[in-house]
Amino acid sequence: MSQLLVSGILLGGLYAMISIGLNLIFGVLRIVNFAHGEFIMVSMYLAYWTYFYYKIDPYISAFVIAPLTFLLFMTVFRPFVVKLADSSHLGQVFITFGIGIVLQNLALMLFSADYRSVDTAYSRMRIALGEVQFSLARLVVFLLSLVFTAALYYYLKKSYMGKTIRATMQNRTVAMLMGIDTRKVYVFTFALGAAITAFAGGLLLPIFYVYPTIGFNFALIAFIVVILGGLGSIPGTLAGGFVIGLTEALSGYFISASMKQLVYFCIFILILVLRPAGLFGQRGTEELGVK
Amino acid sequence: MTKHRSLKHEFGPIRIVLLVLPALLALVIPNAFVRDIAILMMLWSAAASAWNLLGGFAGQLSIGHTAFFGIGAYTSTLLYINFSVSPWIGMIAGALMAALIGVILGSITFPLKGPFFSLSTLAFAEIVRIISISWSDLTRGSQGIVIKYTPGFGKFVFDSPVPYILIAWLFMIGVYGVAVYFNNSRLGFYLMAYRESEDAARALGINTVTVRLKAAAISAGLTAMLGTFYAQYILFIDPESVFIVDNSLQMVLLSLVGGIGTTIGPIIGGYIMVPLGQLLRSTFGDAVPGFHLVVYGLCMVLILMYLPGGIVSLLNRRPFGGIRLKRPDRRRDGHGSVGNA
Repeated sequence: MSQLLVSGILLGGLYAMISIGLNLIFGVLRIVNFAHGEFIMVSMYLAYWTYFYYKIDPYISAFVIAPLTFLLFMTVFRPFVVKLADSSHLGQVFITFGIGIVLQNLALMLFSADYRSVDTAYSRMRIALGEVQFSLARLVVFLLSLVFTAALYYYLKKSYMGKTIRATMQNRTVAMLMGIDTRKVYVFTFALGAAITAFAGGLLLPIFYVYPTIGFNFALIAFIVVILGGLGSIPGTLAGGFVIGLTEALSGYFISASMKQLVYFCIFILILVLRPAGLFGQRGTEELGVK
Repeated sequence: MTKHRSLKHEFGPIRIVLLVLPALLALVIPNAFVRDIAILMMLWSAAASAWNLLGGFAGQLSIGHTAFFGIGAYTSTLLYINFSVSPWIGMIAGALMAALIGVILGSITFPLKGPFFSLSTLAFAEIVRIISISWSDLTRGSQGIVIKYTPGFGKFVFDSPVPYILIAWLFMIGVYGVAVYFNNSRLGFYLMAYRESEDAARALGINTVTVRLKAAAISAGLTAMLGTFYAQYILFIDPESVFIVDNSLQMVLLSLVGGIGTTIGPIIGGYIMVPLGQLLRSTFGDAVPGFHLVVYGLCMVLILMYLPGGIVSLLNRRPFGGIRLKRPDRRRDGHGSVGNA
């Protein structure tokens, strides 16, 4: 039982990690990014190939890939982000979905459908605490998800840029009237979200195989976690991750492994219907920028 | 807002040609590949048009329609396999079943707005897919079901593609007819009024929930009938072919490419995207796996970014009554402050 709880919580940390970036893009900016899973997939491949060719540890390459992603989105992809922010929700859903299809199949073309994984010194290492066992790689992701949550929470609360991001989220027009360059905020936040997602991808590599279609499930889970936790709420994402992680571990054990997805999709619909603001979201905020 | 358009416009000469041409070509050209493309094209054009009844006219952007498609396919097939009920009757049963589920789903999810509605329909479709895999006593799980090849009209299986072409064409024309009805009837006007402004529609005394439920039932029922047709044409169904999210996306994509919220748009979208996809797949599918979907995805992104009104907006410069794909001007885009919503 304690084993179940521990693995559920660790899994929750992992889910929170892959959802933080989406919370910035979808929760804060309200850009429905269906290519989120493919962002993770691409960064996993990047980390994989740097490991394969240069023997650079994924934990180290993540620190290179993430800033690089940030810079790319701030510069080369900037017009694209602006265009995306100006589209309707429907347009966003299908533009990002199209991008997801393109990325997924580019990966299929270039790397084939093979399952690939790295074999680092620690990827099989397990830690035992009494009768509870867990893998080191999952613990690292869990701890980093706590660090990221805390850092991002304080960044959004205290820093000037964080305040402008929150102001833009609450009311774009008024934020603009207060002299905030909302377009810049959009591009910056999107790039930040993409960079955190890329970082998460690197962290996942020692745990999961990477293959072209791995992103879809991650994206679905990330959407569930973000909405469950509350749009725009960073601690909410962590809590949402824990709820989904524990649900998956417990229902996998008590019901059946194939039903765990069913359980969290049901939770998802229930949350949407009963409390669309999510667990930690401010009531009413979910309708900002919608319709 | 859409102006009232007469039936003369909906069945003008260009449209008649557009609607009749693919079936005519498929009947004239005795090439199996061409005929297969034509059948799939008319099938998906019809499915997109059925989706468009709810997604386009009411602006309720479901990405869970594959659930109705699969429910139609499974209902008729299971009735046929287990109780030898003719798929024609099974098709009606599937349509009623899907309409009922559509109404139940709608009454739960219609309060949700924008992307939240879309996500909830996606989750619903995934739930149905998982159930169809795990309830293997009923559905044979991911193994799928093979429908025996025994030609006969009552069995909805034919030994020549000609009847399939005709039936697919009749389906397409039928769904187009329903779309024309939507575009010119009170129900359709109510839906469009809701799409443009929920508050204004309610202020005018429209029961926005009831009209959307009607649209959901019709849209789901028609989609389910096409699911039955698909099952009877391919003669094999499994969760990965009829419940997969790609089907929902296909329906939305065709509507978007052609022109969402218009009568002819989804059909034109099908005419362009389905042959494109099939040709790319048959040309590059084996040599370079994935390449055809890269091109397909790129076309999708480019059309959505640079031609948000769809192909129809090119053909007809006048406002076509479609959904506005661009956000309203930023400067006038006043959102309520937190807590007021």
